[in-house]
Amino acid sequence: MTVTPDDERPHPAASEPSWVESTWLELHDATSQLAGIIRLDDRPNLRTSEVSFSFFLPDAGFVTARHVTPQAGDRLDVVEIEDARLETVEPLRRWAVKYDGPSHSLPSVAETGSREAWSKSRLERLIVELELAAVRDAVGGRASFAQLVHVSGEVWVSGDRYEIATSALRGRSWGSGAVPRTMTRVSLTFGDERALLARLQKPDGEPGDAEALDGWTLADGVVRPVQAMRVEPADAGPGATAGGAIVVTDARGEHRIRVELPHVAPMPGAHGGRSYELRIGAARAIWDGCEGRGFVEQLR
Amino acid sequence: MPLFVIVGHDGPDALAKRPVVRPRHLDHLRPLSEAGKVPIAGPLFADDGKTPRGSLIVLEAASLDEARALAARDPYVVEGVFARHDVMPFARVFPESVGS
Repeated sequence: MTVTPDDERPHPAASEPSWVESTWLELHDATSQLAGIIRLDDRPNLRTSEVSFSFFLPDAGFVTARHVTPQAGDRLDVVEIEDARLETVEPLRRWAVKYDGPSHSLPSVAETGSREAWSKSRLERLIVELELAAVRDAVGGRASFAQLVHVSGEVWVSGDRYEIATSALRGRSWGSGAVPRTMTRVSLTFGDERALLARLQKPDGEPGDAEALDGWTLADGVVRPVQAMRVEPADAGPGATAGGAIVVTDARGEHRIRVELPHVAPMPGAHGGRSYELRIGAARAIWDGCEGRGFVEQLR
Repeated sequence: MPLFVIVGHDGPDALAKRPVVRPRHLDHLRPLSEAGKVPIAGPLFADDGKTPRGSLIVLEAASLDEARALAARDPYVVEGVFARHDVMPFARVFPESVGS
């Protein structure tokens, strides 16, 4: 699809109660080693808006803040939910994200799936002050778009300051909100010149349903659709870091991207009577000698 | 158990040191907190509301000497996040409760 500034505005909702329009930002700063996911989920049929800030800290800690309101208000360029403010300064070009409020933290990201750990979570004051500027035009996908941006600003966790200056990916998607049967999603940036965003998923239908692939590579200033993707897990062993290789094929050929996942957050969930676990890994990657950062998500 | 207040004053390099040392600082306080001996603790900020200037820790200890010893072992003290710190006996007045 061709992306226009109107795509920064809400799209017509279908009738499913869980229909959701999501705006997201994924950043992983190499210098501060802070990785973060910021999401705004609007569910017009449920009349709710939800904003969440999740940060993987360099010491393997995890900080998250989440707020849900009945509705985000009437303005299209500014969304204010509790202590969060998300502004579209110029559609598809510039944005600002602010938050100053409470958050909960865990000493280890590996505990994100533990109710007991959350019951003991520590209250932290989280401040987010980020400005986003487009580096590339948005690339349209299946009821979605995404683009390479540059993020600058600060994140503070109870007085700990993380300076952010990094390439990142942001985007928007809209659809039924159905949770696929399986999914592997990779979002990586390698400076301002190279990126990979791809999702391989099997719908939650019959067991024989085919996997669907959606995504693109950016290299040499050219965006190319991803034609194939597979994950080759790393050999397990004492002291081994989770990860492996992401092998993607585009019009230039096959590319092997080595990935390490030093911090992985297990996120259990349930949808439509089915339990699942989404594992979100803050990733370090190497592609043709270029160092990159981002996230690898796997749903099983 | 007597209460004591520790006030740490950040040194010139504290902004850079805090994120590195904080996990050990928290590990130091966590057993005391889990034993119910830290009623309140957290950073103190400058007027901008986000830049740390120090920390305040209210804790239970058997004596002033024990409180001072606990403070001296705090990684924020050991690793120089605090340029200096004070340990003082403290008495809780608020919140008021029946029988207090």
